[in-house]
Parts: sequence; C-alpha cells; structure tokens
Amino acid sequence: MRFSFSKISLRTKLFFISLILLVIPVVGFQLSEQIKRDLLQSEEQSLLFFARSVAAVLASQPEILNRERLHPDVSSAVYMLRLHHPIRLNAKLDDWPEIDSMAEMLAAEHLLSGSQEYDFQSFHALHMTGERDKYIYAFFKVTDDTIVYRGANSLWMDRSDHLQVHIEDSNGVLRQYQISPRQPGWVNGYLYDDFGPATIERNIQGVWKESGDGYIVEIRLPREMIGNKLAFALVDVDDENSREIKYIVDTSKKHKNSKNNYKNNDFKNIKNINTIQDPGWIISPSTTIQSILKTLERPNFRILIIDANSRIRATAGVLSGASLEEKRPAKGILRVSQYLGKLLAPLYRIFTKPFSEDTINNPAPLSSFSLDGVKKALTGENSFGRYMHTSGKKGDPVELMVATAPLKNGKTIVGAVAVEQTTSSIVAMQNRVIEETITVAIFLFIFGGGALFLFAFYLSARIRKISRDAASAITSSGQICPITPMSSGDEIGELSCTLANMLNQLKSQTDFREKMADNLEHEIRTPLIGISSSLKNLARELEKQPVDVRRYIEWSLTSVARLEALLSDIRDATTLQEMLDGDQKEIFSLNKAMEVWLTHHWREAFIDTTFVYEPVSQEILFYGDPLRILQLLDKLVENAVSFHFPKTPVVIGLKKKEKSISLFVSNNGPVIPEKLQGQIFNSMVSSRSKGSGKDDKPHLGLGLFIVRTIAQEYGGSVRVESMPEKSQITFLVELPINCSDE
Amino acid sequence: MPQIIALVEDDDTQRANYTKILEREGYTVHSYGNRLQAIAVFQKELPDMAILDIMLEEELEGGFTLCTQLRQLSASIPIIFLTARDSDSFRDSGLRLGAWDYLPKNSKNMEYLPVRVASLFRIVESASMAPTQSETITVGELDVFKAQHVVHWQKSPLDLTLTEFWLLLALVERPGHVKSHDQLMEAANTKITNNAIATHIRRIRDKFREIDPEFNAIRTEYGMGYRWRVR
Repeated sequence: MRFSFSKISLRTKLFFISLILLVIPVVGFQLSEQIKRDLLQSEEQSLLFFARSVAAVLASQPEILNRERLHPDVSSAVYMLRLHHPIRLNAKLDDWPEIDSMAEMLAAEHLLSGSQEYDFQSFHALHMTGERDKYIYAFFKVTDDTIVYRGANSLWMDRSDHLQVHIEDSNGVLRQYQISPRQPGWVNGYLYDDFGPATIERNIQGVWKESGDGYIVEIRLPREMIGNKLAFALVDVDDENSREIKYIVDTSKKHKNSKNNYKNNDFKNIKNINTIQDPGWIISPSTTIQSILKTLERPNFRILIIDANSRIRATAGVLSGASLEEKRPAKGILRVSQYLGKLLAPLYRIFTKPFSEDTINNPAPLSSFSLDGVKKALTGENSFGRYMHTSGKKGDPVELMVATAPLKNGKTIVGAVAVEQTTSSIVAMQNRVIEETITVAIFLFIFGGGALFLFAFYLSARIRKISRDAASAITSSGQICPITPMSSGDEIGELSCTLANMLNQLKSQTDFREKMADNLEHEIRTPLIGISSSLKNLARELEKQPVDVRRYIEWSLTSVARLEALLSDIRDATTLQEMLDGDQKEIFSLNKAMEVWLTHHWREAFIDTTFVYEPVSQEILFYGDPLRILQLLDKLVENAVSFHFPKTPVVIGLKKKEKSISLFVSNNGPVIPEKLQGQIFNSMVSSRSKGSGKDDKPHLGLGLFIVRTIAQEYGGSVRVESMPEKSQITFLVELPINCSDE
Repeated sequence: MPQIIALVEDDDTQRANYTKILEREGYTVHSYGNRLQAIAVFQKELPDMAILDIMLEEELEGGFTLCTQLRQLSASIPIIFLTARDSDSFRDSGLRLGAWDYLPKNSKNMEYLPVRVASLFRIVESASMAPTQSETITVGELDVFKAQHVVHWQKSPLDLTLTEFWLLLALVERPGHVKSHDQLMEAANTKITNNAIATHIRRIRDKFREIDPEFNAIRTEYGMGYRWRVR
C-alpha cells in the first residue's frame, strides 16, 4: 500500500507537525558549540595577554632575573627540586616525586670524557637532585654492564666505578668528594686531595645498592656545605684489571656534538678532561619570582615560569575544575526547572561533555605539550594550546588551556611564561546552555506540543462530530434527523450551523410534502363528496334513465370511488403514526401468520402472480399487532407485484437471526436507480415512470413510507438491495426479537 | 308526523344533496349552514335527530361545540357526526361529547346514511319496549338484544355506538368464524379503512374490559379479520 500523507488523520498530522519543536534542542546544541568556540577564542586571547603581561612584569625587574640566574647559558646548573616529603636513604626511588618528568638522563650529552666510543647500553644514569630541611638529596640510577668496586686494599679512589661530588663553598673554595665503595651498602664521601690520602667526610652519606642492570646511589649532604655551585660526575670503570676509566658523565655541562666527536674517533681530545673544573650553579624554584607571581595570581589560573632548560622556576595559582559561579537558591519556575533538571540528568549526559572538578596538584610537571610551547617561547613566539591532563586527584582527565609567552631579560630570551587554565568553566557553561536548551525544549514540547495536540484533538473531535452528525442526519431509510449546531462561532461552528440549516430546510420540505398529502386529502374530499352525492341524487331523480345516461353516471361514480380510494390511502399514510400508537399488540406466530397471509390474502388478491415461500419449521414468535405487520408486508408485496416481470415469481421469506427477525420480499424487475434508493422510503416518492400504471390501483409513493414507519415503530429498519445483473430487487425488513420463545 | 332531522353542513352542494337524500326517505329536513343559525332554532325547538359536520365555516370544531350545546338541551337526542375529518382523535372527541355515531364522508357512507338514520330512530323507539326473547342472541356471557341494539356482558350493559353494535353483531352471529375487514364493513353499513375497523374493535374491547378486565373473546386473525372466540 502506498503511503500518502493525505490519508493520515488530522490528529496524526498535527502530531507530526509538533515534532518540529524537537529542532529547538538541536539549534540550542549548535548555539552552545558556537558559544563555546567564541568563549575559548576570547579566553585564548586573554590567556595570552595574561602570559605576556606576566612576562612584561618580570622583564621590568632584570635584577631579579639576574639574581635568580635566569640566563639562557646556565645549562650546566643543577636543578634543585623542592621536596615536600621526607626522603629515606634506602636506594629506593619510590619516595622521589615525579621522576618521570623531572629526572635528568646523564648520557651522551653529559659525557665529559671517554676512552672508548660511547655506548648507551653500557653506561648511562638517571639523576635527580632535591632539597628538604637543610639537606640536599640526590640519587643516581646507573645502568652499567659491569660494576667494578675499589680493590680491597686499594687506596685509589678513582680506579673503580664511583661518584664525584664537586662543591664550591660559600667562601668560593672548590672541593671534590668521591664516593667509591669497596662493596654495596652504606657509603660516605671522601674529600679528594691531589697530594695526600682522601679523608672521610661523614656529612656526605648515602646508600649504594646494586640493581638488576647496574646500581643505585642515593646520597644526602648538608645544604650549608655548599655555596652556590654544585656538580656531580659518575665515573665508569669496566675492566677490573686495567681499571681504566671508560666514561665520565657529569651534571655540569651539556657537551654538544660530543657524539660526533666520538664518531670521528677523536675522543682523545677530551680524554684529558677527566675532572670538573667549574661546578654548575644550583638553581631552584625562586621564592622571589613566586612572590611576584602571587601578586598577579588570578583564581583558576596557574602561572609557570620556565627557564631555558625547561625547568619550572616558579609557579603560582591553583587549577581548580570547579566552576566559578555559586549555586543560587532556586525560586518559582527555576525550582521546577531544577527539579526537571534532575529528572532529565540522564538525557543531559548524552549531550553534554563530562569534565573533572579535580584540583590539579601543585606544582604540576610540564607536559610534553607545554614543553612544545616553551620551546616556541624560547624562540620568541607566543603560543597557545589545549591538552588533556590526567594527574588530577580523581584521575579524571582535565582539559587545560596553555598560553606561553617568552620571558626576556633585556633582549635575551631567558625563559618562558606559561599560563594555564582549565576549560572546565567553559565546558560547564556550555553544558549549562545545553541543559537549559534541553529543558526549555522539553517544556515547550510538553506544553506547546501538548497544547497543539489537544487543540488538534479538539478540532478533530469537532470535525468528526459534524461528520458523524451529517452521516446520521439522514437514515438509511431516508428519514431526516435535524442536528444541534455547535455553539462556537468559528469556522467549524459555522459549518455546523450551515449543515443544521440545510437539514432543517430539507426536513421542513419533507414535512411539508407529508403534510401536503393530508391537506390535499381533506381539500379534495369535500368537493368529491359533493360530486358523488349529486350524482347519486341525479341517478335517483332519473328513475327511468336512458342506458347511456346510466352508464355515464356509473363511470363517474367509479371514478369518484377510485379517487376516494386514493384519498383513503393518503389518509392511511398520514394518520399512520396515530394509528400505531393505538395498536393492539399480542404475541403471535409470525411463521404461521405468513402462511395464512400467503394462502388467504396474497394468492387470492394477486391470482396471476406466482408466490414462492419457503415455510419455516421453527416457530417464530413476535409481539406486535398482526394487522400492522400484515400492512407492512402488504405494501411490499403490492410493490413487488406491480414491478415484477411477468411469469417471474415473487419470493417472500422469513428468517430468524440471533437478535432479529428478517422479512424479505424479492422480485425480478427494473432496478431502482441508485440515487432513489435512499429516498424511496420517503412519502410521495416513487420510482414508477409515468404512464406505467397498467393496473387500476392508485400509486402515490406512500407504500414504502408506510413500510418504513411501521418498521421503525417496531425498532427495526428497512433497506433495499438491488442486483442489477439478475434484475433482482429485494426489500429487507429487520425487526428486533421482542419476545422469547418460552 | 314525519320525524325532523336537523342537518348542519356548511358546504351548499352537500347540504342540498343530503337534504334531498333524506327527504326522499320521508324525513323532514331542517338544514343550517352554520352553528349560530342552528343553535338559535334548537333553543326554540328540538329536532328528532341532528346530523353535524365538524368544521363549520370559520369554526374548525364548530360541530363539537354545537354537539355540547345540544346535549345540554337534550340528553337523549341522537346525534351523528358526518365529517371529512376521518381520524381517531376526532372520532374519540365526537363520541365522548355524546354523539351516537361518527361517519366519515364518502360516497358509500352516503348510501348507507338512510339505513343508519332509520336504525337510530328504531333504537329510540324500541328503547321503551321490553326486550323479547326472539330477538336475543346469547353467546356465553354475552347477550345481544337486536331490536333495542343493546348488549350485555356478564349481565352488565355496554354502551356501544351503532357502528360498534353492528360490528359486534356480525362477529357473534356466527361465533368462531373469521370476519374479514370487508365483511365487517358491509355488516356495519359503512365504508371505512382497515385501520378504522381496528380502531372500532379496539374501542369495543375497551368497553368490554371496563366490565371485565379479563375480556379476551374478540380475537385478531393474523391481521386479516376478527372472530368471536367461543370458550
């Protein structure tokens, strides 16, 4: 079956139309995306501006930058991490924070000298330095294919794997300590002396422990031993017999292009340099800069000052994912929408983006993303980016925006300023927009759509009512029942009024026609009686009438009698309802009555016509006036007889159904025009063509009107069925069973 | 001395014709065209019988008014309504006002009119005479005194109109036999519709039931006619 919109009911159509309201959340969603984009853009601008202004503030105080040794060339510095937790000297690294991001790899770049081509697999180390409570801590996680300890009786401190600690004290005196154990375990530093034996320095203590692929040294030394400069060097000896130094790596300097040097087998050039001449500066997060940053701090921002070596030198601010706006107490409609919001939460979750309200640990390490920004900043460019950060307390990813700007001291770029902000507040705002759109859309859909739907229902119901009224206004047997017009004055009300008026006019016409019969009967009867009484007197006056005259008088009287019969028929029809009210009802056997009527009435009255009747063996009782039922059938039989084709039978039948009794009279004859089928039961309507009245019976089209009236009086109905292919007309009367067999 | 019949009929032709028909039978006919003429004369001198049309000129129910006035003047005078108004309600109203009979106007009833008038005069005459055995038909609890046109059911008299009497007589003359509508009309010297016969029968039954609520002797024969059921 083909789908057609026009076939759907009005109600369904309007329902579909109301679905358009669902576009609202989609539009809202798009709008929120747009808002978010715009917000991010402006946020990006302000973040960059912020970063640049922080850089400008710091640049205006070069003395601070100098004091804090923010130079591009302090690459040899030892970065002193501020430790927040105690460190236990146990050669276990689990108490060191953020090793992954903060620890420095001492490998090719830090190679001070080597007797062989550098082999990373053979020797490298991970290193980190930190400060806590007047102590400096350091660990070296050394990967070494062969560990060579100091000989049991050897006084040579530098003929085995060992760690050198180079210190410049507050007086500017350089000292070198060596940690060169004979076996793993607790170790101390020994002050190196070019000319004499090393003396033990118990302030420098630590643990040396072997690990699977090398060893771990974790040491501690008092802060007061050191001025501003410190360096470490790791010496690798792999041949126990020759005890030749294979590699020296140190923290002091990045030896650029050293790899290339070794490739050219030219490592002898640097072989001589086997000790550190100048230890690097100690650099640590700057409290001075930090305090400056504090004054610039804004809520929900984190400012990072990063030096040229990508070390964080100062931070300020806490990144919190919590949205800034406070929760307002809801009133009135807001409360409803809040309640609705709770109900709709699962729906919101489909459309909104989750964000963490985690507070990010402070200080946080630099991510690779920030590092990119820092690198760009160090070349003098501003940059902006977003990345996901997963180090929140709850472990949820947090989206961060980072703006980086170069930090200049004079004309030299000495570092970078990074300003970070979570996007949570923007996402929160976007989510709120989405939520509100959804809420509004659902409100609109429920109330607007509901109202629309109810209105559609109302309209549709009214139209249906008119349609029903119109359909039932004219019964199948042609009776007109006026309808009550709707009281409302809109188009549908007008339509209803028009329809009611039409029906009333039609009814008054029908009534007039029916009444006309009554009036006509009375008006005609009076002169007719005058004629007949005159004729009779005339006949009596002329005692000895000539034959001719007598014949004329007889003919006239016959005509008068016929006219009177006609008038009687009209009277029968017009007073029928009155007669019906006075009917003498009784229970009688309809099947027996049919047989009596057929034998003694119709067969006698219509001698030339063949009647076919199938007797019913079952007793069919009916409560009614037999005279009335006979009258009803009489009219149908008369009708059938006068229309049947000669030599075809008139079939009369009686059937008992579940709830009704069906009477039918059927004949072969001309088919009733379809347009007349609903009307023939009305008074004075006949399908008889003019001049077809061969018999001497009057035909006024009252018979079927009588049939209808009687059938309706008994709560039944009458209808006609035409079968044009068989030229068969059947009149069917359905009467409800009104008495039981008992 | 010929009996005087007062005829009140507004249609000139009919009035003249009816007068002629009745005069031919030997009656003296005083005819009037409207109610006022008639009542003016009635107040001075009463006729022996009155035949009234119902619609009299402008008065739609002038005949009924006249009937009421006439009944006040005399309780016993026979009054017949002869009218084109052939309906149950008119018939009921007329008979309730004390008319002896109600005839719808048609050519057949016109022929029967002299018979009817004669019968009514005979009833008036015989009312003073004692009922004689030879003229009585007894069927069960029913006694019909033919000459007086009097009927008793369970020894109580029934007040029947002439038409009703004739119809009942037709049924009880041959008890148990079905009388068709046409046969009944013939017997009642009238030409009316089947429906009107049914109405008459209904009224007869009602009158019986006033005496005997269990009355059930007049049977409908599948709507084709009636019979008097013999127990």
